[in-house]
Amino acid sequence: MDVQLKKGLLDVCVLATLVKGDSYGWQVIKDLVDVIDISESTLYPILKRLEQSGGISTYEVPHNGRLRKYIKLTDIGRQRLEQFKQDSQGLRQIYDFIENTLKEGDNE
Amino acid sequence: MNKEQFLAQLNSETGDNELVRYYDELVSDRIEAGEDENTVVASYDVQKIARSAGFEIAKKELHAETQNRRGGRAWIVILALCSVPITIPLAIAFIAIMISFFAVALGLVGGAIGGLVMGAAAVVEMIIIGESASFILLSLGAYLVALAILWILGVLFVRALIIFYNWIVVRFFKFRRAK
Repeated sequence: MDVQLKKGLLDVCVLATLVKGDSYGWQVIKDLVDVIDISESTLYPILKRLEQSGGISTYEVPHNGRLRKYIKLTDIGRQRLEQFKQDSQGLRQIYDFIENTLKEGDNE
Repeated sequence: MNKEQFLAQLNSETGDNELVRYYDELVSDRIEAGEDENTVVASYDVQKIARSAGFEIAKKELHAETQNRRGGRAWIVILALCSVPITIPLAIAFIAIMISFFAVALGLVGGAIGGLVMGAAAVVEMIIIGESASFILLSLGAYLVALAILWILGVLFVRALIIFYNWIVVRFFKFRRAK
């Protein structure tokens, strides 16, 4: 996938994994690995960025004798997902247009 | 390499506690999920992580630097250096325009002086030839009118030149001050 296109989508993907409930690093990667190409080293800066922009918040919970960092979706993060939902309709139109023109090109 | 060794190496390479904690958690979670410790650790390349973390740090530093004044000035110096191929020909063109304006002004002055001398010579010549007084006075009048028009044109031109020159200087200095 195009790097720029992927970059914008990754943030939204990470936010989307938190809609059903709070999560943690490895779980986020497991949830997304089949959807989009994401690695541990890619996730780290995304989480930092999202936390800085207020899209997520973190808290620690004791787990098997260690602390696990949990990630929570904030209202700002929810707004961003909502924004993406609105944008995606416009995106779909663009994709349809490109696909249709490609199809027409093939038929000629 | 086991988990502890991996984390120690990561810490010495990056010095980023937060990053080390992040990988500590990832490795622990994967081991808990049933993966072999050595396999998990082997799947991570410390150098690669350090490089991408370093890239993030470098990006942040660059951002911070462009935010502060010194950094901003450094960028302007770089920009100025980059624009040398454009600014030098522009400066030459500007100087050439100024010189040509000066030449026109000089030409006007020269023309005026020449006209004055020629006019005086013509009057003397007409007296010698013995032209009628009325014709000489008429010629003298026409000559003075022409001289006045030339004078007004010259003054206007010099004024326009001064205004233009001030405008360029003010623009240039304002531009520099704004930066």
